[in-house]
Amino acid sequence: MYALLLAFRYLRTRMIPLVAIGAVGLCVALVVVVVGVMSGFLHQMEKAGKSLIGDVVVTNGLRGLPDPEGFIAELKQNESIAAATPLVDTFATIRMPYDEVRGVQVWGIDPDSFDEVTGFAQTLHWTPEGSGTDWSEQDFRRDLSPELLMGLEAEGRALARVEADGTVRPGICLGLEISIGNKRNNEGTYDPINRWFMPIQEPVVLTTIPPETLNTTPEPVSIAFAPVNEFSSGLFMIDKERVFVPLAEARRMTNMTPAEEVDEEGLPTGKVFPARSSKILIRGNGLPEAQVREIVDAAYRRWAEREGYAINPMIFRVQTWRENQASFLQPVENERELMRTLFSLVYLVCAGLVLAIFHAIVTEKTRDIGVLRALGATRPGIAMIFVQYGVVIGILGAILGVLLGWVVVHNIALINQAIGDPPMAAVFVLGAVGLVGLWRFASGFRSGFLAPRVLGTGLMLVGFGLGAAIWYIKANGLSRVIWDPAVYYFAEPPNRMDWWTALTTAIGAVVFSVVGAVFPAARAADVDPVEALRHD
Amino acid sequence: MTEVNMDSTASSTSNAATTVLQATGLHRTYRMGRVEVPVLRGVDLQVQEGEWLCVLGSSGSGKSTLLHQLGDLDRPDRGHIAWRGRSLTEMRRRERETYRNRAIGFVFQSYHLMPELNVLENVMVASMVGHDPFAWRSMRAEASARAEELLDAFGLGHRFEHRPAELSGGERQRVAMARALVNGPDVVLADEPTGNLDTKTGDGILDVLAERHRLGLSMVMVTHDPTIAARADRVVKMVDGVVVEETLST
Repeated sequence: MYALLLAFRYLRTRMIPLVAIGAVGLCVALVVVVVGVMSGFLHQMEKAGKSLIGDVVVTNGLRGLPDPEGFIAELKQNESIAAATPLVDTFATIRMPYDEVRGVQVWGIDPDSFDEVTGFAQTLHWTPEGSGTDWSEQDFRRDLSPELLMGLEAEGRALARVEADGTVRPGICLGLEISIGNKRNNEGTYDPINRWFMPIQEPVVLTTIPPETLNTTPEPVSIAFAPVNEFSSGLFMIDKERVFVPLAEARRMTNMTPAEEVDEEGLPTGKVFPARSSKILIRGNGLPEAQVREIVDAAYRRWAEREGYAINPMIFRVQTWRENQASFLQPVENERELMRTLFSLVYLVCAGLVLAIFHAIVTEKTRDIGVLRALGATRPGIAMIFVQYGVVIGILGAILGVLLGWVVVHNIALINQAIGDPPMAAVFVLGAVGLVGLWRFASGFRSGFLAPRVLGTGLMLVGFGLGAAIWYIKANGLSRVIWDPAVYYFAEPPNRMDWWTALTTAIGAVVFSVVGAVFPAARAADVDPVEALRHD
Repeated sequence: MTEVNMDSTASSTSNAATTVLQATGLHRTYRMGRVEVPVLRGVDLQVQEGEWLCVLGSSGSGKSTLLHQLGDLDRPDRGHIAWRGRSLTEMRRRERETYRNRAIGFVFQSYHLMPELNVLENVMVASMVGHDPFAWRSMRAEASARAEELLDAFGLGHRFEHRPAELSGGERQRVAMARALVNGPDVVLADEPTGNLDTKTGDGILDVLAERHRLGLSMVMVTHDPTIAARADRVVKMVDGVVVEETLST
C-alpha cells in the first residue's frame, strides 16, 4: 500500500514526473495521429472504392459477359442479393465544348439499377441542397435556382436530356475534375471558373474504337452527348477520369449490342447473340462480401451452363470489391503497417525517458529507501514503488497521448488550415510572446541572473521570429496549406481515429514505461540501507 | 510465509525471559578502497526487557554501527545477534524484515521523515510497510487511531495534515518517535535523537522517551553526550569498536 501511496505522492510533488508523462503522452499522440491519418486515408479509399462498385464484381476481360440482364433477372431471385447492374467499361477521347480533347474512362450504366448498387444519385453535384454532394457555406450552387438544380438532377439521374421539341438526347455525367469549369478550392468544394458551368447546352463528343470482331475492321465510333450533370465520388483520380453515359450508347461504342451470328462465309445463321457488358456489379443484402461472392459465382456458373455460355477460367472473375481494388488499396495498407512499425520505435523512447528520469529519482530518494528498509520494507516492496510509479506515469502519459491524438485527429483540418494559412491574430500573439521574452531578458539583465536572459532570448526568437515569418508569408501571399485539397485525393485530411491503434499504443506505452522503470527499481531495491541513511 | 512471533510472552524462558536483545562477539570491518577499517571488534551487549541502555562514545567509536547491527540494517562479519533468544542470522529474509518492522523502532538524528507525506502518513507508513494492501484495508482504521493517539500524546494533534517542512526540529523528531512506536516495538533504537536539536528541545524529546520508558519500553540510545547518558538505566562506553566500560545509573 505504501508503494502506491509513495508513487502517487512522488508524482504530485515533483516536476520531473510531469515531464515524463508529457513525453510519453507526446510519443503516444505521435503514433495515434500518424496511424490515425493513415487509417482514415485507407478508410476513405475503401469507402470510395466500395461505393463505386458495390460488393461484388463479375468480369470477363474485354470480351465481356453475355446477356447480363438475363443473369441479373435470375440472380435477383436470390434474397441474398439486393441489387445488380450491368456495366460497360471502356476508354475514349472526349471533346469538350471549349475544344479540349483528352482521354477518359467511360462507364456505360443503367442509371436506376446502377444507383441501387452504388448510390450513384448521391454523387451528383448539380442538385438541390441535401440530395447530392455536400454544400459548403460559400457554395456557388446557392446562386442557382432550385428549379434549375432539380432539372439538372433529373437529367443526371436519367442520363438523358429532353429537348424543347421532345427529342431525347443521350446525356453524359462528367467527373467534376474533368471540365475546366470547376476548380477545387481550399475548402475542398468547387468554384466555377472560365464561365463554363451548368447548365451547358453545347454537346461533348466521345470517340472510341470498338474491339475488333470477326470479318470487320474496327472503325472509330463518335457519339455526341448532352452534359446533363457532374459527379463527385470523393476520389480525385476517379473524378478526373471517369464519365457516365447510358448503357445502350456505351454498348454501341464497344460492339456489345445484340448481334447476329454469321457463318464462315459471313452469312447470318439466324442465331442472335444478346447484348453484352464488361462487368456486372452486385450489392448483397447485408451479407459479408465473401459470402455474396460465393453465391454469385455459383449462380453464374449454373446459369451459364444452362444457357450454353462457355466460361474461360483464365479471364472469368468473380471478385469482392476489395479484391477488385487490391492494387489500389494494398499499397496504402502496407504503408500504414510500415508507419505503425516504424513509429512503434517511440516505445523505446518511452522506456529510455522513464529509465533516465527514474534513475535520477532513485538517486534523489535514496534516503527514503533507507528509511523504508529500516521500517521493514522488503526489497520487492521497494522495487514496487518505482514499478508502480512507472505504471502510473505510463497510464497517465498514455491517456494524455490518446486524448491529444484524438484532439489533433479530429481537428486536423483546422490545424492544417492554421499551420498553412495562419490568421493575422497569430502574428499579434507571437509578438506578445516576443515582448514577454524582452521583459524577461531585461529583468535578467538587471538582476544579473542568466536563466531569465536565456529564457527571454528563447521567447524573443520564437515570438518575433515566427511572427515576422508569418507576417511576411501573409503579406506576400505565400500561404500554402499542407494538405492542399486541390492536390490530394480527398477534400479534407482524413480524421478517423483508429481506436485499436490507440489502445495498443497506449498499452505499449504503459508496458515500456514499466520496462524503463524496472532497472532503476531493482537498483533501488538493492540500495544498502546503512549507506542510504547516510545519503544526503 | 513464516512470520516472526511478535508476542513477547512466547519468548524463550530461562535467562532470555528478560533479555530482549543480545549481541555476542560482533565484528564488523568496512573496506575503504584498499584499506580495511575495523569498526566493531568483538562487542558483547545485552538489552533487558524495559531497560534504557545508552551507548556512549565519541565519533568513530562504532556506536552507530552497533545500532545498525542490532536493527538488522547491517550484518556482522563475525558474531551474532539474538532477539529473544533467536539468532537473526538463523532467520529467513522475510522474518528479518518483520523483525525490523515490528520488534524494532528506529529514531534517527536527522529524523528521516518523508517530505512528500504529511505527519499522519509519516507515522502510518510504518504500519503500511508491514501489511499487504488487502490486510492493510482491514486494519487501516486501527493503525490510524494508533498513530493519532501517539501524535496526540506527543503534542502534535493539530499537525496531522502538515508536511515535515512545516514543522520545527523538535516536532519532526516527535513525529519520528511516533513512527518508531506505532507498531508497538520491543526495543527502540535511537541514534543521537537530540543531536540536531537545541538543549531545551532535546530535553523535551528525552522527556517523551523517558515517559515511554517508564511505561515499559526498552531503549538503546546512542549518544556522545554524557549528560544524556546519565538519564539511562545503564551506560556502556565504546572506544575504537569495543565496549570499555559499563556503568549502572544510580
